Amino acid sequence: MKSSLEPAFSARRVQIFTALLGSLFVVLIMRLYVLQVVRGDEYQQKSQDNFVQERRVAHARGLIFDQAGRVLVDNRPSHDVTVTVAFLPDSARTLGQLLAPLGLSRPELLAIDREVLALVETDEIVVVADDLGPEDCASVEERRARFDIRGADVETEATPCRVLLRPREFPSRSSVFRRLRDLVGLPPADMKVRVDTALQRASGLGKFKPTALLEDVGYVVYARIEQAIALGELPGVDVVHTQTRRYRNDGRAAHLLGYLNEISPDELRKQEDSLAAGTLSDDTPRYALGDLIGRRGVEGSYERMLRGKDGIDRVVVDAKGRDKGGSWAGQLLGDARLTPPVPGHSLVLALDDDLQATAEDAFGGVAGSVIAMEVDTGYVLALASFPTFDPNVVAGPWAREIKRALDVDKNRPWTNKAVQEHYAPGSTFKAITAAAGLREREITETSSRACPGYFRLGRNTWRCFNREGHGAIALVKALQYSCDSYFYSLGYDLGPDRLSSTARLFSFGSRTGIDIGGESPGIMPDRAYYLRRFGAYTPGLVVNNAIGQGDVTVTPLQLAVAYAAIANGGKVMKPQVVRQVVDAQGNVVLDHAPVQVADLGLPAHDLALLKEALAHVTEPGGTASSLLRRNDRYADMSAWLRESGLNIVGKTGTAQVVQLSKKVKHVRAEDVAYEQRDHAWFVGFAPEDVPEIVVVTMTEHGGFGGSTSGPVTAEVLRTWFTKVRGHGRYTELPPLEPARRRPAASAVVAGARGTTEESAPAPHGPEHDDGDGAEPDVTLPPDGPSAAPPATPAGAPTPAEVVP
Amino acid sequence: MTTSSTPHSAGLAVRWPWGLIVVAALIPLVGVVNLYSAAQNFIDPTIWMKQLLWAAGGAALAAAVARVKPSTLETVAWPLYVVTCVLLVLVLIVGTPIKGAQRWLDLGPFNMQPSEVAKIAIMLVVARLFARFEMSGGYTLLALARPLNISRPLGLVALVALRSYAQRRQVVVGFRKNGLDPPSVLDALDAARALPSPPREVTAALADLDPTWLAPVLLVVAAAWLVIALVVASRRRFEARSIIAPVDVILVPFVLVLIEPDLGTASIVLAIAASQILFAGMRWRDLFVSALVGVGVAYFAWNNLLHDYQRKRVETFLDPESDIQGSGYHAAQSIIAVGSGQITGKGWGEGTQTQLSFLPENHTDFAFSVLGEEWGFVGAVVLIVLFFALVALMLRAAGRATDRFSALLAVGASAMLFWHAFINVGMVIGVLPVVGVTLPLVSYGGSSMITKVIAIGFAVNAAAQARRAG
Repeated sequence: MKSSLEPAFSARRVQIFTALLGSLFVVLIMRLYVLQVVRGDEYQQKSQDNFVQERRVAHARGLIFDQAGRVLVDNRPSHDVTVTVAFLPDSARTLGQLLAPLGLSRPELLAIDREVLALVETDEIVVVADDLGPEDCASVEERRARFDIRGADVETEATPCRVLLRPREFPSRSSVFRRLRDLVGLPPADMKVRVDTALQRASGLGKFKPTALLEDVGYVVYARIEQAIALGELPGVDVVHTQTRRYRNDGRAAHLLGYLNEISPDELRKQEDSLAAGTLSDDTPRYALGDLIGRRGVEGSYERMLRGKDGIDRVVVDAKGRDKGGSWAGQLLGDARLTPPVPGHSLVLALDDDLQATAEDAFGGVAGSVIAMEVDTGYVLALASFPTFDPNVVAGPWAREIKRALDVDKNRPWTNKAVQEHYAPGSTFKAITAAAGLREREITETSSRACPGYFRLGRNTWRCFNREGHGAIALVKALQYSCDSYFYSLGYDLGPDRLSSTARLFSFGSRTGIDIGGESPGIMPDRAYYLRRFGAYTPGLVVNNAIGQGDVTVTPLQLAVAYAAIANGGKVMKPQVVRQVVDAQGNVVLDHAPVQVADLGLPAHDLALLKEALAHVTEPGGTASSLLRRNDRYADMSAWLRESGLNIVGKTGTAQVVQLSKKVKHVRAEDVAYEQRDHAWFVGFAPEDVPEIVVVTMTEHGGFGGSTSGPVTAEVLRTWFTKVRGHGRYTELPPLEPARRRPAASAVVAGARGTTEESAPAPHGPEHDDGDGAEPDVTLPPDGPSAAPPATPAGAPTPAEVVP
Repeated sequence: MTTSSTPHSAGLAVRWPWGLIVVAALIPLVGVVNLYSAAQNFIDPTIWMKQLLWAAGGAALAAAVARVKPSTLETVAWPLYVVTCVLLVLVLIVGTPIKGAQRWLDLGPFNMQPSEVAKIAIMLVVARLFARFEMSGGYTLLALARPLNISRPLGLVALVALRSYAQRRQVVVGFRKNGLDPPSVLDALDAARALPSPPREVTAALADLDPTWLAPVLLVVAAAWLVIALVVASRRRFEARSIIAPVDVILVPFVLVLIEPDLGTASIVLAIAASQILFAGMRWRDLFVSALVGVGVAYFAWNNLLHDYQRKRVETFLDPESDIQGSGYHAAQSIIAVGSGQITGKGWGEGTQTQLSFLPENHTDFAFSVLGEEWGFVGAVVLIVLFFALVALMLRAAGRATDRFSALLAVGASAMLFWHAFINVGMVIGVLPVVGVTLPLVSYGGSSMITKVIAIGFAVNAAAQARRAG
């Protein structure tokens, strides 16, 4: 070692070194300049993205009221269970922590993990390590205590000791879901579906966000889950407060109201597509995975109105996604951190809840529909379809069984049979044929046609239900007696095009435009239709149509619209379910004034004729005269009808479902298989002078219209006059005129009608006791195209019996 | 050099290099202020006081070190080196694993990190070695490595032994449990890595150097080499330098730290020694050759030795945000923290990355990110300038020292501080991989703080020597 006073190394060397190190520092400073100055804003944004979590604040969906302001549908507070995948326990990791002293490899740990997870269901105790020396044993026990691992036991007393795991308690995803399942009481298969869906949704960064697992668990379950969370049994599981749609009257008006369920992936994809294409307008509601969307009824058709906008609550979270609370948020985000949710608009329906309740209670069949409409405005006062369902329970985690049962029910509970289903109208259609005759001047009030008991065309014969024949008969009587021959011949004279053009005016054959979806147009055949369908037209076809058989089909709604037009002086109104759309402040956003679609163009005199003819239906000898003499569940209604003297203007109808061969005539209804019984119609409006309301009841396979459907219509009318009229929107209606029973038209009765129906309620076979329906000997083509014969040009109406 | 000591104090009086001391005191103060903010939302918000205590304790020790005669330090060098190596071996056997590495020795009341001591030991030993070993025109590679020394073949034998040991462990572990799927070869490698001791990654890497013929071939080479080395050694008078070379002195602690595994500290150890040797002077040609060899080894290791997961780690380093949820998380969050500080920072105690735990290890390895986030570009540059001032003043002290040992020791000390600061800031702002090197005098930690302050003491010592001499 030198011991001079000179420095050991040259100053130049120090300078070079210093410069070298300094230049390396400069590199760092340059990098810092890029990060903090050049790209500072970008990283500022990224740090913001880190700690700002946008949480959705659910909006309140619009309410639905009936015409009198009664709440039909609202929202109730409920509890959803969410899972944050990132915070679920990692059993493999915990095992690693516990068993670290044993020096197991990762595959070994994973194998143990798999074993433990597999045993969560059976809850056996697993021995994960055996033959441990006291040292390893103590060290495992020490770790168990330090990490506070549940569901693990170390037999420290025994030598050699064992490590036991209780899979159901050992923190793992499976044990958490298993515990949750027990708390909720969901079948394993359903739970699995839910869990799989949630895990799938929570992929990528989604695992740090709460994902919906179970909706609306109910208060008791909610309390149980909260308790388990407090005890630390359910890491990663949370309960959130939200709202659930409540249909106040369970299944009442289910088809008109609709229900909510989860938006489908297809719909979401469509939304994404149109978003990408820029074709989505700003006021279209946006949906996220798991959002509920209205289905069917007004929930579906007024989805845009009912749905509001979700709000956004920006919260500050730490790295583990924990909400840091208001003071942090206030400091970092300021006051503008909450975008409040916008509630949806409410609907005021034309529906009256009392009327609806009556319609549903009075209906006595298995399947069918009831629709009540104001004749002047087209407002739908009641709309019931049977069988029905409870919209409260058809969506959500508990709905699987219920939905499946509804799906397989052959009575098609999902279908709104008043709007979506179309049937042969039977005799109810004769009024329309009559109107066509008047419009086309084929008939007048006085012109009469001969009824020898049958109508013959070429080699084919159609029988009137009255074998003896009605003799020479004019319009009013023909309609009153429902004389088939009269309408056969009138139909033949009119021809298919003239008949259908009038029928189309009445809204048959096209959609009425009611503001709920899925409406069927029905079928109103004209010549072109038959040419399309059979390739040829034969005159016999229109003969069937004239009495509402054959290919003509109508929806109960169309029938209501048509009879309303007869009742109101010829105005064809668009049926409307929603009267008003009201925003959350109560301002009317949308007011649905009555809309007239067409005018029948019939002189008042002609319409009065039709009304006159239909007015006898409940009179003694009328097809629904039994309405006055019910002594079963409808006895009160009969009494009221007799007391009030109210006359129902209307028509029964019995539509054949299957062709009956000659051999099975005169069978009693109950002897016929349900599927083969006739459909029963009754359409009626009242009061006679200034009609206010029309009610159509359609009972599928109900047999005779007058006895099964008639009382339902009458019950609805009774509720209208006793409970609805004079209340709510209908306070202004003038008082009902005093009872004015028509003089019994004794001359008219004249034994023309069978009296068997008076022994109702038991309906009878259509062959002998009803003027409705075709002459029984004539087997008519059934409705379905499957039964449609191939083209038979120049032939007779194919399936008709040929009388030599 | 020009200032004379006070005559009355008869050489014992020390003229303190106040500039160096002031700069050296400023940095821990910045560190404590920073630590206060970083730790305020954590379990122990008072650690800034502990840090202050460690700094004060370190300063006392450093003051003592500064007054010790260089010859005393020279005497201590080798014993300290040997003790350190023993501790490094011990830590591999009985150390407490923290986050998968065994770096800590449990000494009852507190833990210690032998690898910190290794940094001091290596700078003392290298300073002593090269103070007495001079080559005119600079050192040659041959002189540093002495390939024909006996230690070389012995090292080869040690490598083979370690490798077969690693393989044996795999077999043992593989069949330790019954009833479970028999582990595959890959599982076995995993198993070897999962061993508590010895060093997972390195043994696994060794075991991975499979072909089965490698061990016998290496042994034959080692045997032949040993014979040659013995012959060469026997021709001359037997002396230590025929057994070990300067490179060996560096490699022993380097390898021991590397297999803890602690790549960060190992590279610091290497960097300290390399800086000292470079300062002492190497021939240009040999410098060039060693650089070439270094690049070649790195290339070979990348292609043949590294596991996929190791390669992935490096790739993640090159683009940390590509894997923000995985191994790049720390790096990415740190870069976001620093970048979001922008020019003037978010304010003390206001850093969202820091206070909301997005920044990992924010009181130790990522202390600089906290500073960058809360004080911005301005604060970061100020700290870097302080570090540069410190290192430059320490180098100046080295340049003024009159004996080679003091000078090289001061160079080692400044090299340690420099490389620590450079690697730490580099990894925090994404120009170097995250290897777990602390920011000297700023990151929380007693061992680390005391080591750094003692190192500064070495530089003060050198400066004081110079002044005393002048």
